Amino acid sequence: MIERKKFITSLLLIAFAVWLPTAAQAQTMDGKLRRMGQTKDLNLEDLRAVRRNNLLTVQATLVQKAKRDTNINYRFKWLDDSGMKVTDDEVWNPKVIYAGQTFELTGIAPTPMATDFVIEIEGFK
Amino acid sequence: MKFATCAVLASAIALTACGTNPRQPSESGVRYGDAKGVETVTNEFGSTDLQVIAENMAKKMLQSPVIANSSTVVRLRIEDVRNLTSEYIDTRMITNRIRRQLLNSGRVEFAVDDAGLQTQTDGLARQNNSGLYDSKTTSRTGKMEAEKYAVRGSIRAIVKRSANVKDVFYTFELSLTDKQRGVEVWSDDQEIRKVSGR
Repeated sequence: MIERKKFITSLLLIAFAVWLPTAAQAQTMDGKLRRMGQTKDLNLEDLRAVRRNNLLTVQATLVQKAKRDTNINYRFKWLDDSGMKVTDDEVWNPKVIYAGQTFELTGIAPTPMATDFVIEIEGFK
Repeated sequence: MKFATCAVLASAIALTACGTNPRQPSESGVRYGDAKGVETVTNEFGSTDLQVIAENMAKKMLQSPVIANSSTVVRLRIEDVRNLTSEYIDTRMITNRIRRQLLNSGRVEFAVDDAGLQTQTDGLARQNNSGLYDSKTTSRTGKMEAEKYAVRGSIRAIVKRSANVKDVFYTFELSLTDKQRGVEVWSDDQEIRKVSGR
């Protein structure tokens, strides 16, 4: 009976250990996206950032779940280690999203001072 | 007495509020807009097109092998963007914005362009020929540094109209040319489509 309890406890601990980093990662990914307007049908599927030629390069992959075409405006905000903006706000980029489309938003930091980012996204019909 | 005191206090508060209200509506209807916002007043070339083109093309150029793989700051000379559309477009705004974006990256520098060359040579002549300046502090002639690459850009448009729809397709091309070899070493473009109904 004690062995069985130990076994179940071990299983729970392993499951928790596996779930914890995944949950933390999901929280971090979502935290990089600031949503405005009608964006509930946009799912953030993947987010990756690399330093290429000393400039931070970001690619966010999103999926449009709605069954109609929509329009979005988006822009990247470039931050330093302390979370301060390193440049003026970028211009809003308009983009048409087709129903069910998987698409990428790519941003390149304008200056090597940028070490972090957030993506602002505004959706409307 | 009590009523009079309250009335005076209320009037003072109301007057203060009127005088300092930052959101007082304007009688003329004038208001400030977002300079970075998407402008869709008409489908002619607008501020959003200018900003999107300049930002995206400058970033693409910084990723080109010529600049990205260089261990030193690359010296360029930018020529005015050519407007090959039927619209009037102040291309100097596009040129200046691309130049600023590139300069802020710290990867490139710009040799003086045609517009600034006369001022530059006048300044050098004034320092060296007027006899007014201490020669230890003057910038010497014959030390200007030439550019290695030329930046050239052009904007073109295809316009189609029907009874109800106007479709405008802009394409902005930017290229880097090695001056000594006379060889184009990088080129890219940015496309914008604008559709409006009547």
